Amino acid sequence: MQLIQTVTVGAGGSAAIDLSSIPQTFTDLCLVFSLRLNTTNGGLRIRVNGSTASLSTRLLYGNGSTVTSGTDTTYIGSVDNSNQTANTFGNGSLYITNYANTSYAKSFSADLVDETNATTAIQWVTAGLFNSTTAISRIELFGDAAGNFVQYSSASLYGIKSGSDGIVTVS
Amino acid sequence: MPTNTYTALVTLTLTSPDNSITFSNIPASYRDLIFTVSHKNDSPAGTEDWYFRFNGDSGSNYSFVRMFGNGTTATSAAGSGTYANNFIDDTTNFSSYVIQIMDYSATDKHKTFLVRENLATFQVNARAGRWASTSAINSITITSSDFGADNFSVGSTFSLYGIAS
Repeated sequence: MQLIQTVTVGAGGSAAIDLSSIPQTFTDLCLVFSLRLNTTNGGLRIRVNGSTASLSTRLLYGNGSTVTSGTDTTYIGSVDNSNQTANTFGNGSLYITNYANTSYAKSFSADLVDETNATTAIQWVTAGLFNSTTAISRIELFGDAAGNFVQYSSASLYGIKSGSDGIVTVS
Repeated sequence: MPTNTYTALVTLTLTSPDNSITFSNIPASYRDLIFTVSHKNDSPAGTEDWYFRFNGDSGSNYSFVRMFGNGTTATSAAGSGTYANNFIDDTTNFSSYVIQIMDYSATDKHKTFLVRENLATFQVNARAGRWASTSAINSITITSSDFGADNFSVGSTFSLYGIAS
């Protein structure tokens, strides 16, 4: 697993976490993030290659008392919002297999949690599909409502390269 | 040069359909294994199941607990059987899986694994499983639905990585 890039939000906040110019030399991508939004809505969405097109998600989430399943296009879960415990950030990871493939659509998984010092926090388990044969070269995360990620929000993108050690065999 | 945390052990991309694949000679020199799968099947039934076993063990030594959502209903289930429980794929879209096998080479404990299963057009799953054996894992066999009646499609990929302690 090799670090490709890290984005850290500065004092002015940022409307999106933008990971662009992703090299096409790896097999899979893993994006890990620690985020907080300055709005009362902590919903998190994804854009691929600058567009919200060709995206779909299937969601499973629990809040400590209820578990629910739903579907969306770009919604992947929630991170901490301005109503939640100060100085607390939601975190998560997103894994994309075969992101550079130009023959097939790309499936991905996302696992997130928004955390707060109260009885309600939400854990998300999400399946996603980028239904396009275009290779993924840019990933953006942005809030469900107009607003910014606050200072110290961060995201790191890693590349995973498949290969062989010459020992393990396949039959 | 940053330390490589995922050591690539083997990767396979199918150029012809196949219904059973075995990864053998897995070295015991790592702490954990990560197995990533992206595949679809050629079953006329559409959405189908696939399975995996360790070290060719076909005994009733596998158990699991899982939660899954289909976009409408959220469910939790548990069970046991002769394989590391059925996973899902279909004929249209490539599903993606990340399987984490902890302490796979230990000989003093049963083996536990976590699975994230993603087929956004059908279901999302999170699963925890156990193989009731203290043997080190040296092979993984994956088999398509109905124990080989259908195939993994061309373009399906399977990659194994070792994580050093």
